[in-house]
Amino acid sequence: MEHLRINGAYWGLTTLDILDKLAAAVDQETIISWVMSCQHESGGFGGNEGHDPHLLYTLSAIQILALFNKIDTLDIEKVTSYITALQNEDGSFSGDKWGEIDTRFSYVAICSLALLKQLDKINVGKAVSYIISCKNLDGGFGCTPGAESHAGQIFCCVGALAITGSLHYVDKDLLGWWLCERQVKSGGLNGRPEKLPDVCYSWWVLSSLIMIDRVHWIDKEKLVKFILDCQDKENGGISDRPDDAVDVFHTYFGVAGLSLLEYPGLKAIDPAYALPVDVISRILLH
Amino acid sequence: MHQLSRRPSFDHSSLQTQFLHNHHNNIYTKKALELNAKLIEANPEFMTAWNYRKLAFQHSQSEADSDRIQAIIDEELRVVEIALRKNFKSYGAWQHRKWVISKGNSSTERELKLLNLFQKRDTRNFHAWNYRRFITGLKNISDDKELQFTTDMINDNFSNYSAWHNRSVLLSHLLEKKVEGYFPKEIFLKEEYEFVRNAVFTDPDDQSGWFYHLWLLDQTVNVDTPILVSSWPPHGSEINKTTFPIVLCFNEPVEGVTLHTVSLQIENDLFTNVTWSPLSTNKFNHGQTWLTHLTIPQAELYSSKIFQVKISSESSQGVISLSGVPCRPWSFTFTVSVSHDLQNVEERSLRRISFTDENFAKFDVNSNVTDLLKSYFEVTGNYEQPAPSKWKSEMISSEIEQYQELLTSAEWY
Amino acid sequence: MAETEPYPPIDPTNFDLIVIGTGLPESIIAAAASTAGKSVLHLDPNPHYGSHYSSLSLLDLTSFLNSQTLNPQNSGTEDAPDHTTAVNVITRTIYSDIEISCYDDSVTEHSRKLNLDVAGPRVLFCADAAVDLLLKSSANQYVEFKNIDASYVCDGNGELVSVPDSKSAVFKDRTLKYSEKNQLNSFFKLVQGHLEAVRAGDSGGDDGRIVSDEDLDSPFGVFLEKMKLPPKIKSIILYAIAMVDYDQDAGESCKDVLSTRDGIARLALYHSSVGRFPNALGALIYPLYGQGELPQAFCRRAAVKGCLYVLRMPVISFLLNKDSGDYKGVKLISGQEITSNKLVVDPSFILTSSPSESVHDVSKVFDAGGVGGKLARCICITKGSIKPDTSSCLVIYPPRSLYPDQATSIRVLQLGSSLGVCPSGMFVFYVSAVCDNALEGKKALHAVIDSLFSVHTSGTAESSSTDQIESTEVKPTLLWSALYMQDVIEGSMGPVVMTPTPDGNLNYNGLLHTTSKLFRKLYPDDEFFPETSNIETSEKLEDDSELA
Repeated sequence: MEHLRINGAYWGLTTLDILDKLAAAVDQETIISWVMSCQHESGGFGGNEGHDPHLLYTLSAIQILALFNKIDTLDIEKVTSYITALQNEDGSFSGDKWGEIDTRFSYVAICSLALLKQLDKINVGKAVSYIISCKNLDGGFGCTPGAESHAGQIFCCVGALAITGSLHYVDKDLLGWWLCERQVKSGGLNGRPEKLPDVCYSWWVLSSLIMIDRVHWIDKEKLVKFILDCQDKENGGISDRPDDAVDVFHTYFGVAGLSLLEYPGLKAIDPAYALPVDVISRILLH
Repeated sequence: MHQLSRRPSFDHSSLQTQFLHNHHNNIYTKKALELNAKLIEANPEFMTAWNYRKLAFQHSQSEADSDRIQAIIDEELRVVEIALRKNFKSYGAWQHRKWVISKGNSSTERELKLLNLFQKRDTRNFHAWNYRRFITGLKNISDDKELQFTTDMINDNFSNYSAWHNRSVLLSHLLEKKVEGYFPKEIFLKEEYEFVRNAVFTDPDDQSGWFYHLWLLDQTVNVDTPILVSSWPPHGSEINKTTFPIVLCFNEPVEGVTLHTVSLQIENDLFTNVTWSPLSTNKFNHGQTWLTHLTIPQAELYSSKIFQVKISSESSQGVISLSGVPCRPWSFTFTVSVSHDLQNVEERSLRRISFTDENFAKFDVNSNVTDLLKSYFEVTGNYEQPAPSKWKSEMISSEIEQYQELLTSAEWY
Repeated sequence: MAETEPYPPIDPTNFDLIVIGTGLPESIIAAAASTAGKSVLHLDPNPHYGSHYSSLSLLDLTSFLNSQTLNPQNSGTEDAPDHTTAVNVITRTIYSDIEISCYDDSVTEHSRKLNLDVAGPRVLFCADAAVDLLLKSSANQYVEFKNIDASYVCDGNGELVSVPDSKSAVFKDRTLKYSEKNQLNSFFKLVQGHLEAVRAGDSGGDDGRIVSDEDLDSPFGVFLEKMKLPPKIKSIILYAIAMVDYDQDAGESCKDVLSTRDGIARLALYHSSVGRFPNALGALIYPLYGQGELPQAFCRRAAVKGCLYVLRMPVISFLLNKDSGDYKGVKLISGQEITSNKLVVDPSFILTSSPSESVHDVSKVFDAGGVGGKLARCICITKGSIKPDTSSCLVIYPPRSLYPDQATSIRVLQLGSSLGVCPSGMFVFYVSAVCDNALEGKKALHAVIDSLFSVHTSGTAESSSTDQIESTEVKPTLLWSALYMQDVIEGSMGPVVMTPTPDGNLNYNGLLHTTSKLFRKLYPDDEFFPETSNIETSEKLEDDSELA
């Protein structure tokens, strides 16, 4: 889809990197110049050339540059000021200037700034408080206070708490219980109780379980089998459920899930930053 | 989190180019808006296209009269509805609706009708549930009424975690506000236990009811507000030194323990030279145990050799829990008898008071301090630590009994 | 009458098919044949559509029931020109023991506002064959449905309790114990799991069927016991969900034992009915303005496809080839003779076999079909519903629930004014039971009337209301009732096809099965309504509310 092409690029490129095929498969220069062409004068990135900027696309742009070790291509100050301007009084983040608030954007902002090593430019305490205010009594998190827990949202909140060193706010056993109950008979994971399994939750649920150290509560072998069952043996892609049509989104989440499951031949991926561990080490240790 | 729809069959890219041209050149003609609506219908997730509509709205708002604005609002709502029909889960469409609704008059009925329709078709759509909470908040629809809506949804199909979740949110509000009919808590809890028991027994394999049950158990055993569970010196105790620590122990981490929120009175004088600090803290300054050291100033000035110290939180609501609930008011008093003879000895032993494990054993040899420590441990439970109320234990044991029956009958299959 | 009425001449005079009677089976055959491109003439001697499946005003119903018991004259045969023999048609009596009582004369004033089904009680299950056929044939565009609000079953203590017929009904039920809820829904799930396994097995997957073949062949009642379901739940499943007629506990003497295989199929039909249409809440739906709308819908469908309709046109004789005895055509009351290749007749018409003629000529073309059983039917009109705030509901009295020797299940359907069958404030009830004879049948009907309604003759209303003080629940007052016996005749497949009378079932599945068989016999090379696209999208149920 044209409107989230930059997300698509991130999914595809990260998948290639996990498979250790990034350098061989793509032309770095072309991609970087295209990514930079998606930057808006405000500093944020759009989903495609000429599109409006949004935090969601900004993180993808930073992640792509991180994959190629090219974060220095950015005017870091400008991007940072775009992100920090979107923090609200209560610590939450708006996705863009139109004001939609969601804990997804808290994660995206925090992850972006961490990759840019600019986390000190926002009020982290308030950002964390806001995320905590979205915690539910089942241990999970929703997109705003009072909203239902959802595995994708839990990933965002736990990821943001992990990056800011605030995981002590999570009731690990309670949340771990809720998350491990996402595994259904087929071995796949769903995103909420009584929903169908979907390969994308292999990522959202699994990464959250790893971050709170409860990944041993699910049957990893069955999950590996489920993901592999979703692969189209002819074109290689992965779909949401066995026998459905494949796409780059589910291919990324399938491969990333397998990486978290330590499937042989894959590079390790960081559960909080959603980038290969070597990429994260390169950024954070230097 | 995602919605991937098929690429539309008509000439999408030329529409898109035209639209971006309009967008970048601030062209908001009727024709341009129609083109945009077409694009949105084809791809309701195209965020930039929604942004354009917001700009166009602002553009015409500046020059239109109120009738015209109402017409524009109606048109925006219509475009959203078309988009939602195409994709129930479009973040952009729901967000645009919120944005438009916040701009002016809109009929609550129309919004609720739309929601009822969408929520009937897709009972778990969390966008719709979020929008519902937004609308009920905006339009001041009572939690009571919304609770009935969750009852109806659950009656239609109790395998609806979203409805149970919203029920727990609404009941939490009603409890907090002590709304008539939801207070005291045990009455509604009893009804809720029965309600959810129907779900769990009918289909024990369905997770929705179990998680709600867990919430009810939490509501039964948990204390809602943070409370002071113990202190040193304990209430009513007697201290015979002029410099000593004061320890406040809460049932959960709290913040905001300061000289403004906790008053310290010696006889009738308010003592202001106190600095409270959490014993162990997380980085956001919440602590379960708070400590200060008190030195009775110029003890000799007091006429009496025995005087009363009162520590209380009654004047302020500033001590609050992680979830922002203020602490239940508390106070305790103890007496200090000044003995000049003892003072030096006390100061020496004071230096040795250290709350690390290895140091505790050593106090056994020092009879003075042992007494103090003893009273510290004994005191737990004296401060409104709710001795589990009778109804709570009855409720829990009744639940245990009920669910044992489920185990017996479930064995049949 | 016949002399004063000018009968219109019919043109053309030759058709592929003539259908006599506009009951549901005849109407479906007429529509299916027209859809298959046949030229069809559809006749009915009555001034209304529907024959035995019609919905009539109170006065029309009375005269319809009575007219059907009269034997017309003109029996015998006569020679006609062109080597043709005309065999006279007479009307067979299928209703008997008619007992009509009016307790309040005001009812007759509302005669026109009442749409009374001749063959009640009857409903459609949302997932049953009739709904599929309506959609497939596009006849659904001529009829609207509303759901039946509730269904009740008489428990062991004579109380009417809600039928916990689905997972959410089990959840909402207020009379089942928690453990019973668990047992009942566990059984529903077992059946569902079994069906899914069977389906997966059919499509080549694992054949992990849950219920063994041995169990499938055993009686359903025995299987339910084997699953340790308590008697109360067993009775609910057998009589209020699987809609069994005969007492399944009667052992050897039970006339019709339901096998587990069929029981599971009926349970599946019920469950797939619940929630099939988003705007129909329960499993059961009823056509707005009465069951008579259904044959009419098919007639309209047939008319669109070119079928010619003539009402008030009795057929006086069948024309047979004098030499071969083969069917040739019919002679109308107008005197006109119309020929056709095929003939379908409603079961109330039979041929006289006068002694002067060779009987085998008649039986060669026409098998009158035997009486397969008897049904006791009853229509009641009341002031008031049996349950407060309930417009329409189904009530099941399982065998032995009303009186000790009650041999079969008795079903009652209450309909309110929202279904367009009576004026507001009135309710129409249909009662039926399968029985061996009128005595047994009437006993069942009277037992229901006594149990559900308060009956008093007109003029004594005030005094009798004081007698009611003891009863806690106020029973609806009976205003009018009609009790009658109906013969059940199955269709027959002679060269002249005879359609079946209404059967004793609650839905049309059995009748549709017979009807489609009859059509295939008539036209083995034609499809019984070819498959059209968009079956699910064209459903037309009540209030498909769209956004403003």
